[in-house]
Formats: sequence, structure tokens, C-alpha cells
Amino acid sequence: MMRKNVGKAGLSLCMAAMLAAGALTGCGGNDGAAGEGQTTENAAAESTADSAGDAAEENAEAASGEEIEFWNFFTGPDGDNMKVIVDGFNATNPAYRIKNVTMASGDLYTKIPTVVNSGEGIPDLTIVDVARIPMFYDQGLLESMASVMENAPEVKKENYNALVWDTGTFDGEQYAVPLDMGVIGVAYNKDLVEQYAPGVLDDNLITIDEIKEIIPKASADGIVTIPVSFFGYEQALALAKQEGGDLFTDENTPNINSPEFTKAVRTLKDIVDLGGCSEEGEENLQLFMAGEAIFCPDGVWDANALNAIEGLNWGITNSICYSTDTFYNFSNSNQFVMLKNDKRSDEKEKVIADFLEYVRVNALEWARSGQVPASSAADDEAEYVAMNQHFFVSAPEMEESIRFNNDKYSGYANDAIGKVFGDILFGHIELEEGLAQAQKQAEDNIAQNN
Amino acid sequence: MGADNKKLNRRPGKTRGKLLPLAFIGPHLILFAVFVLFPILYGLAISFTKWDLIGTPEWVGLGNYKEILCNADSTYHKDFMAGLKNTVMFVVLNVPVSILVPLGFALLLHVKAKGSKVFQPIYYLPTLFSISAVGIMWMQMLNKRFGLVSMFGVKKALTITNPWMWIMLIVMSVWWTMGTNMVIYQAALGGVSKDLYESAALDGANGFQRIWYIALPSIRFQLLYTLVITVAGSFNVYGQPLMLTQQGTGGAPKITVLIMTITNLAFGSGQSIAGMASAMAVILGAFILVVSLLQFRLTTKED
Repeated sequence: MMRKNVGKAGLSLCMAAMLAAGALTGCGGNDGAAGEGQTTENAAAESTADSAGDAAEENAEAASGEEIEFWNFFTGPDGDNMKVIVDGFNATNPAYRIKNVTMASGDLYTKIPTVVNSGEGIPDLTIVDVARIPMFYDQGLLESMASVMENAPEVKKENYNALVWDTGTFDGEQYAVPLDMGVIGVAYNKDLVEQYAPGVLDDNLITIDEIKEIIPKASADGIVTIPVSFFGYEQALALAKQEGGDLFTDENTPNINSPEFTKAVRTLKDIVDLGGCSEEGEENLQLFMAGEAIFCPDGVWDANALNAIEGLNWGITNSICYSTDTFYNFSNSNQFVMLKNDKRSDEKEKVIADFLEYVRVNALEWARSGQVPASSAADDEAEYVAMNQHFFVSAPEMEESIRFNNDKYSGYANDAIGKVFGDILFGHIELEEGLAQAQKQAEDNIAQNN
Repeated sequence: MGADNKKLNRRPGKTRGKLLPLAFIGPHLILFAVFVLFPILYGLAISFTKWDLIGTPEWVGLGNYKEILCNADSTYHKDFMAGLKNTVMFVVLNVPVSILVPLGFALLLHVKAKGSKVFQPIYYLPTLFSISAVGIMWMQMLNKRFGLVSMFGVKKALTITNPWMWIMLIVMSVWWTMGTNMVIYQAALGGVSKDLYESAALDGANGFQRIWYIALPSIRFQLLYTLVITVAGSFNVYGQPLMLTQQGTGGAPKITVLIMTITNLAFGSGQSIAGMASAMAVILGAFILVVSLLQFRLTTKED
């Protein structure tokens, strides 16, 4: 009897140990969404969601050879806009139809090493974020876009925002074609600006001194001036850039605890200490939507969500600055790339070129998703001009202010700073100590790759 | 000749007898080897390398383990220890509650009070939800400005301030997972002979004594099984603190557990550090094995 129990319990022990040892292989990066459950039942429930994506992938694979498999992570409402674009292109009867395969970004980035290593199921066309492009280029994952540009001569730098186009250029060759710019600026409540900060936005710039002047008036009424814990990192990058500070001094050397970045984070912390920010743990976008914050750092992609709020009279402007002499706006960017794949035929590349040209010309549809299209084709269209995010392409100085956090090891820096940023702002860790910790983490991670 | 014929006649049956069990466990064995055993061995092999999941792995022997366990200045050592501390804390707080609460509900349902058939699926329902949905729901509910708790005058950010964030984490975890253990206990309690309860009642045992001396010893194997599984599952906690204690866009969760550290290393925003991540996963696996072994030894000592 005892032996029988030992056998059964031993089996349980083995299973328990395997549950943990298999943790790495079991947990694909979900970028902050779903996670490891505690029971097999929960795991099964989780995997159901994943299997839907897998099924889509299998369908796409089954059809490969006749279709262009296009991987992207437009799982939100922007997926509808991309679907309109893909359907529109497919309606032109191309030699290969575009197969739109949408999955969570974490899944997409986890699948890339798998398909590249196996050489099977490599998508023909993929959307990746600008921050990953230098890394993918360095890893030798990207195919040159030269043939695409040859087949679609209008897919060229002159027809796009030059700064975002250059993020895909390496050694004079193009490896990515930008779809958009997800600019992070400062959303503002027009009514509250009128009440607490009249005239502040006359020059489209909010200086730190102006913020400090507004804080006492606003906080007396329980109104948040600017919740800098929300997209505050991008505000800090913009401030540091104004003083010439970058996150990296060269490709392999992080510069997180530089005087410029330290001053930038200290400036944000001052705003928190003066009572200009929301309290720790607040849902800042909800706060702004509820009309309880004058300003709110935010990405342009939230435009449709903000438009949906009845009675919210809002606009978007540049990131905060020390003075009106210079300003910057940091941005994400979704970009088309072709992962290296010997099986991709010239005919397919021709259709990919046609598709990218179609996307370039039909930039207005993508603008409807809230993003700033990288292509300038829609810049003068009345519908786009009326959209809030058009602000960032409304004048040359706005377009030239856009910057991208796209160093080869930006991902390490972003993760390291993200770990301490909130704790620094709310005083749980000393500023210098936190940034030194982030610097060390980025250095240690880079050392793993050299 | 006659003896030879007997042997010949027996052989197919004997062979069939030996192969039959294999035929039953074969499909599971294959699946187990492909989806469990191979990934574990593969993960173990990766733990001895420096690898970004793309290029060629570089053999570093025990280098990753030394870095994690012995180099106090290393980011990986600090992250591992911080993650392990929070993970152990979660296990210590979560396991007793995750055993006792479902057991309590199972005992209540076992009484078969009126309406128990309705309550049973209601109690089980949260287990079917995804952790993303559960996390968002609880975060909204606990939002001090717009959430349900604000209606009761709560002015604290319950998901990011101590000790509330731990309390809420455990409450949410138990609410989400208790259905599984509850069903196991219910099934086990259903198998306990009514005669035992009746005899005890005749001997003057009260309700508590009947639970303590009859019900619980009768389901001890199920309790042991759920204990081991709950401990292992709690060591692998990830989704709950990630969803509930998030500080905001791009910010790290307030409670960082070991699986988060492992996931961020292997599948973070930068190039994968899969070797170090695998080494941490192996250490965690070994840790759980030891803890489970101790549990098993302690709980089966009487047998």
C-alpha cells in the first residue's frame, strides 16, 4: 500500500518539478497580458486563446505559396483599418492575395526566432516596431527592401517623413518601410486649459515653468495638472534630448545615468513633489477622460478612444520642454520588413511592392486608426487635417521634432528604466540609485551579447 | 514436442500481455516526451549557454549558474533573489488559503443545502476566465477613484501599497483558482462512506469532530495531491501580480516574481538572454522539486 502511494506521489512530484522546469519553454512573452496560471485547468483556458492565433497561422501556412503571408500585431481597433487596407488591395486581384495574420505582439516576437531557426513558416511580410529593427538587422534577420523599391519606385524617402524613413536605413540600404509614427505628445483638455492655463498653448509648447505655475491653481480645485507617470519616460527622453542627452553614447554603451537624463527625471519628480501629478497607481487616461487632468502625456493612437468620450474637448500638442527654443517628440513606428527567407519568390516580392505602394497611397485609412501615417500621401486631405494627430505633420518644425528610441540595445534600456521609473517618481528609490541600477542592468544585458 | 507446442501457443498471448500496457500509455508517453520531456532537456541544455535564440549558442558551462547564485554584484543575482523572495512570499501566503477556502466551500456544498447545485458552478466559474480578464476586472474594481471600492470610501491604491497589494493579490488568486481544488475535494468527499459518519454520530461526535476525524483523513491523498500541485503552481505565479500590481504604462509591476524575471530575460524588449533565463528556470524547478519532496516526506510519514 505504501509502495503504491509512493509511486503515485512520486509521479505527482515529478509533474510538479516539470511544471517549474518547463516554465521557460511554457511562457511565451505576452508583453504584459496573459500569464502563467496556477492550475492545469487555467492553463487550458489560457491556451484556448492562443490556439485561435495558431489556427489562423495554420490556415495561412496552408495557403502559403498562393498568398502573401502578412504578420502583424494590430489586435485592437486598428486591426479593422488594416483589414480595410488588405481587403482593398486584394480586391485589385493581385497575383498573390495578402493573408492578414494578426496576433499579439508578444506572440509575434516569440514566433520569429522559432520560424527563422526552423526555416519553415517564415512570413512573407511582417510588421515590427522601430525599436526592434536595428537589433533584427544586427542579427541578420532582415532582407533588403531594394527589390521592393525597384518594383515600386514611389516607395522612396521623398514620399515619407524623412526621419522615420531613415530608421530603416543601414549602410545606405533600406531594410524597412515605415507604416506610421506613433508620436507621444501631450493631450490637453481645452476647457481646463482655458480655465487654468489660458494662453499657455499659444506657441504649442508647455514649458516646465508654466507647469509649475499652473499646479497650485489646479490642485486647489483637485485637478491634476499633468500625470507624468503616464508616458513620462518619453517626456524624460524629450527633455534630455533638448540638452543634448541620448540614452546611448555609442552602439554598445548605455548612458542612462547621464547628467541630461538625470536632470530630466528629476524635473518630472519635481512635478510629482509639487502635487502636479496624479497619485501613484491612478488610471491616468481614465483621469483625463473624466476631465480631471488638464494635460496628459499620451500616444496619438488613443485618439479614437478619446474622441469616443462625450463632452471631452481635447487636443494634442508637443511634449513638455525646458524652454521654447527647442523641443522633441519621441515616437514609436510600425514598419514593414521582410524576414530573410530563400523561399520568397521574385513574384511575391513584386506583389509585396504593389501592396506597400497601395498602403502608401491609401494612408488616410491608416490615419483613421489614430496613427500618423509615415507616408505623406494623405497630409493635405481634409479629413486627415481635421484629426488631432495631424498636428505632428502640420508644420516642418513639428515633423523635424520627431525622434525614435531605436538604438540597437534600446530594448534593454527601456526595460531597465521601466523597472525603476515609477519608484523614482514616487520616492521609493533615490533618483541616482535608481538610474545607476538601470544603467548596470543595461550594461549587464549588453555584455551577454558581446 | 508437446511442451514446445505449449510454449508456441503461449507466446502470442504473453507478448500481447506485455505490449498491452504500452499500447495504453503509448500515446500519452509520446505526447509527454514531445511536449514535456524534450522541452525540459532542451531548456537544461540552453542553461549552459549564452544564446539570443537566433545566433549560434556559446557554451559557458556553469557560468550562468555562478552568475545567478554567486556574483552578488550581478543584475541577474539581484533580480533572481528579489524575484525568489516575492515568489516564496506568494507561496507562503497563497497555499494555505488556496487549500482551506476550497475545502471549506467543498464541505459546505457536501452538506447539500438548498441551492448548492446553483452555487457549485458559480464557485467554479472564475477558474474558466483568462487571467487577463480577471486582472482587468479586479483592477477596475479596486480603482480608488473610479472603482467599486471608491463607493465605500476607500482612498488607498490597494493594488500597489503594502500590505494591501499582497492581500488583494491573494484574494484575487484564490477567487480565480479555487474551483479546481474545490471540485477535487467534492469528488473525494462524495466517496466517503456515510456509514462512518453515522457511526461517529451514534458515538456522540459533533459536526467538527466528524470533519476532523472522518472527512479529512478520508481525503488525505487528495489533500496531498492538491497541496503539491498548489505549491508548484504558486511557485510559477506570473499573471496575477503582472496584471494586478502594474504601476502604469511601461512600468514594472510592484510585485515582481521569478517567472517575470525569467520571461523578461528570454522574451523582453531587447535581444533574448535565453541562457540566463533557462538557468533561472532550472534553479526554480530544482527548488520546487526539493520543496515537493519535503512535503511528500512530511505528509506521508505516518503511513
